[in-house]
Amino acid sequence: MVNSPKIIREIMKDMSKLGGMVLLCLTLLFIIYQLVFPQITKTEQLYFTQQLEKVLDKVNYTNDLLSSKTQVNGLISYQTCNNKQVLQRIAELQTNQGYNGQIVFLVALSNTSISQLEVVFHRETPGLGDVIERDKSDWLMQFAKSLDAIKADKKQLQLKKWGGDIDGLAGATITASAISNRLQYFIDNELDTLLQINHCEQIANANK
Amino acid sequence: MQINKVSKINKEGLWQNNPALVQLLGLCPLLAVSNSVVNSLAMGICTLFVLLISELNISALRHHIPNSMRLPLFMLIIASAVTAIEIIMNAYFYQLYLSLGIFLPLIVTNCIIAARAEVFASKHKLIDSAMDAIMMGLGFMWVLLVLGAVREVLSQGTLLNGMEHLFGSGFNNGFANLSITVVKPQLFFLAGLPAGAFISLGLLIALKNAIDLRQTKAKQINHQHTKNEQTKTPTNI
Repeated sequence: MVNSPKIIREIMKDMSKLGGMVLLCLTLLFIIYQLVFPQITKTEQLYFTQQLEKVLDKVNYTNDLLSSKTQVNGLISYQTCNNKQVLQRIAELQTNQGYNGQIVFLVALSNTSISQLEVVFHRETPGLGDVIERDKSDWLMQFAKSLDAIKADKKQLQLKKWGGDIDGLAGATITASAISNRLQYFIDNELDTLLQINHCEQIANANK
Repeated sequence: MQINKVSKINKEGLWQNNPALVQLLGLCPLLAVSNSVVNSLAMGICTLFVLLISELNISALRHHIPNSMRLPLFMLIIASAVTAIEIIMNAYFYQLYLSLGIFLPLIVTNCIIAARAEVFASKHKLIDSAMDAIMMGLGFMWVLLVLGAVREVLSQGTLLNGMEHLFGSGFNNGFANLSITVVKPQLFFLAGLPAGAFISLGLLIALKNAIDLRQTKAKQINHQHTKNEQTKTPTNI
């Protein structure tokens, strides 16, 4: 008790040192972040464009893919056009049911089927959940099926575990379910809206 | 004296007190990320840099760090270093940043870094600490690389697959494709899973211990020989 003011002074001194260090570190990190921020947006956009181009059927299209982004009722989609005609529609689906937060993936539709799928962003466990990447395995392509078949039979998009047709992922059931559930929701509730969007006509009209 | 000290630090980090094989620190990233050579290399480099930055800072500030505030300050410095590296990875190595995922920010909790800060950097000079950081980092990295190579060959049948994520896509074009297909079918699927990582690491530790045992035995025999000769020589005279 005798020394208490001295002890308190000591503690305050140490605390101020810690506080000073925190401020210093934060400032340094802020500066680094500001410096590389333009590069981050650039790389992320470049990567996204690469992924978008991967899912396309290689047909000559006349529009700018990134600017064809449309958002209707929360569903983000892209379209390739040949003048007024829509060549292909691509949906960007997001789900928060992943094992470690958000998973974003692209679903490209041809006239009658889901033609390509590709993951754009995820933070699933390396070695287990990251098998959803197309570079690592073709697991995701199991969902590429004819739209009529999917609409006729719900099992087409369900995991085997729940009585469906899709092989699960060993050690990453949550990841597999997240994608399966999101796709089922997309087919049930959003597909019709997507098929009605015609961005190409809008552009053609705007150009006139 | 100086050279002795440096070579001792080298030996400690790379072999005798290897963080992964002897201290068994940082097992979480070691086991999880070592499924391919690229991931191992990236993780090794990141850990090396974090070790270096944090040990240098801590060593430089060691006289000013109050004893009671030691650990929070260490964690602060380590976390800042990791965040900086994460931001840079996000900007320049986006695909690797994606594939390393959660294990990049988790370097903060890697025990090697906290342990080296506490045991070494807070008590030694700047240059020694830098030396220690580099050697410990390299010691961790070579184990990661060996594990990564073994597991990649066994589980995917390739070697150096995806190296362009680390060196840019130009790397792949300029040097032809670095990815080597060793065996076409998967040899041993388990090797790619966490269980395979544990088994591989166990075998690696066993191998290291066997080599050490052989060396100490050889040394003992040598020692006895010299002793015998020493005892013989006076009688001969």
